[in-house]
Amino acid sequence: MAPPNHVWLRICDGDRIAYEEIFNYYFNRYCNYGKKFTDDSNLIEDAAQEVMLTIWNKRESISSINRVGAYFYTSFRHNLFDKIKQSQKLVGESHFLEDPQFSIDHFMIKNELDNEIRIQLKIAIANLTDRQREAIFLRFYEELSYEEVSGIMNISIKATYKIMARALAMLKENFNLPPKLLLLLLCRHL
Amino acid sequence: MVKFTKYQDYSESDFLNDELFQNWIFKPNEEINAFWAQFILDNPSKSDYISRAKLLLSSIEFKEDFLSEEKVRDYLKSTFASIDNTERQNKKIIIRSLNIRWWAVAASVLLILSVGYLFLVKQNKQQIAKIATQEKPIHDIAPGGNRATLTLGNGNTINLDSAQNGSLAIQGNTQVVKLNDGQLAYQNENNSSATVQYNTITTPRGGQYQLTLADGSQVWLNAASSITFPTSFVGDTREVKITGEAYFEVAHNANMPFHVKVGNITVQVLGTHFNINAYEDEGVIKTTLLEGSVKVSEGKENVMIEPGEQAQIKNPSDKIIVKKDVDMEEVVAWKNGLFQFDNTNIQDIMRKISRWYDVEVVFEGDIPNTRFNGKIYRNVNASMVFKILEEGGIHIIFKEGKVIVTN
Repeated sequence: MAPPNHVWLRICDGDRIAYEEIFNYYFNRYCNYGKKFTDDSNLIEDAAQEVMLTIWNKRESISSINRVGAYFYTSFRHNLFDKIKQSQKLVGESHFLEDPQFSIDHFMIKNELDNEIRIQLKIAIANLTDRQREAIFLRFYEELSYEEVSGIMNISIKATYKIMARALAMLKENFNLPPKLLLLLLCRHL
Repeated sequence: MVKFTKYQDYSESDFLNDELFQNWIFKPNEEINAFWAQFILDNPSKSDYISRAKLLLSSIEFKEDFLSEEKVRDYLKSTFASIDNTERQNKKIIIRSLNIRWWAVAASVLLILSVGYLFLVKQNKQQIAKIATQEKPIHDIAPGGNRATLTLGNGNTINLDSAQNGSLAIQGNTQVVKLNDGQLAYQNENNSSATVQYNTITTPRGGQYQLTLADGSQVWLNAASSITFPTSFVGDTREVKITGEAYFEVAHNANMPFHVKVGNITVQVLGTHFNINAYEDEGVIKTTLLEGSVKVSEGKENVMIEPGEQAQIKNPSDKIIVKKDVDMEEVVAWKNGLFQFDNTNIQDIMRKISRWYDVEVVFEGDIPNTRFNGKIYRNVNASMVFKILEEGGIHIIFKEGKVIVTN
């Protein structure tokens, strides 16, 4: 569970125990998020640590930050993207640097689903855009609100709804439950 | 609460895209569960849509790539070190660099880290007082480190934390050398030593030190302890005196038994490994043997103990009690850079903490009689240790420079 707001507020006063709590939760959250963009653990962990330091250095202004938990995801994402681009520049991989891609490999489909449906869904996910995949991750996994997702991905809330709606439509299209199975699953889920 | 009417004309896609509906799947709570259960009851025609949408949203999961707890802890430590470093520069508080080498002995110590900078809260009371107006209240206490004072035979004292590495003094034929890792060694130029002098090393609360005596015996001193010893050994016994807690690895010399004096008690050995805990506030003097054999004597009474045994002496007039099958790892944990507890109560734990973090501990109200098991590194801030104790239902707060323990 994400640490509640009052823990963040305690950091404002320089409370190191509160800071530790935030650190223990978010450091790993960031690293996990970063892994979706690159396999380079050094870059990810550096970025995560820099953000953790920023949190401490900016602690006096934390009370004025809205949705503080999500706020620093934004810093992390920005920091990591810069680092990834920087490292690509160094190895001369690309002239025109795009945002890193959100990997398909980290998506999993629930095991209890029928194999055919799982394959269909996997294909659907592979056909989503990077932004759609990232939005789904932030909403489904990080349990962030649409507003928070929009802040992190640096797009409007309206655009976030659009991205999510398209992604969900695509998934729904490929979520064809055979009638018999559907009945079975419905019974179990209600 | 949102009204049901909003949802009565919803299609399956509408449900899929609705934030409140998604929340029911992603982060359910009682209120939200009750809302949707009621909605389905009132609108059975929608139950199909709802089940399918719910199933789709809950069918996608993500692989988790988390770092190990150790790794996160290491990052936390280095982040704190970096924070301390910056704050030191900003506030111009005197902070000393301590290169703590954790005394390498036990194989159980796996990750040995060196802590860059420690914020010596207590050592710098005056500086703290000066900047008290701009300083925030203290919320944490840095751990102890390699700190000690050496008193030479002529009464001169040398602060070992600030002394340069290398030769510190020559007394008679013996050179006192500060090694680079919180260690002091005595080296004899030759054995003919007419001018034996006695030296004393004293560790403060929050200090520890390691020493190699002129005969090659090694001594580890815990916090708030001292050892008095000759700069070279002559005669037919090797004699040293201690207070507090020390661990010995005595170099074997059958011709010259090694005697450790603690008050009225003498521990006699040939060559062996043992620990003596003689803190006054512990109320019991405990000699624990790890290897070899030792004789503990007090007045006319004496006992021989074997490895794994512990001789306990409560009052000067009492009999010596021998305890068998002692957890030796726990006894010498301090020397290996750990706090280790084995069915230990909070009062015993807090005495150790008070010595190592140099803080006054106050108990308030009824303290639960929780027993603690486990180990934690000593080179962490006090808050880390307190956090673990809190899991056992003990509450610890910092107040006016003291540590208050409540239930």
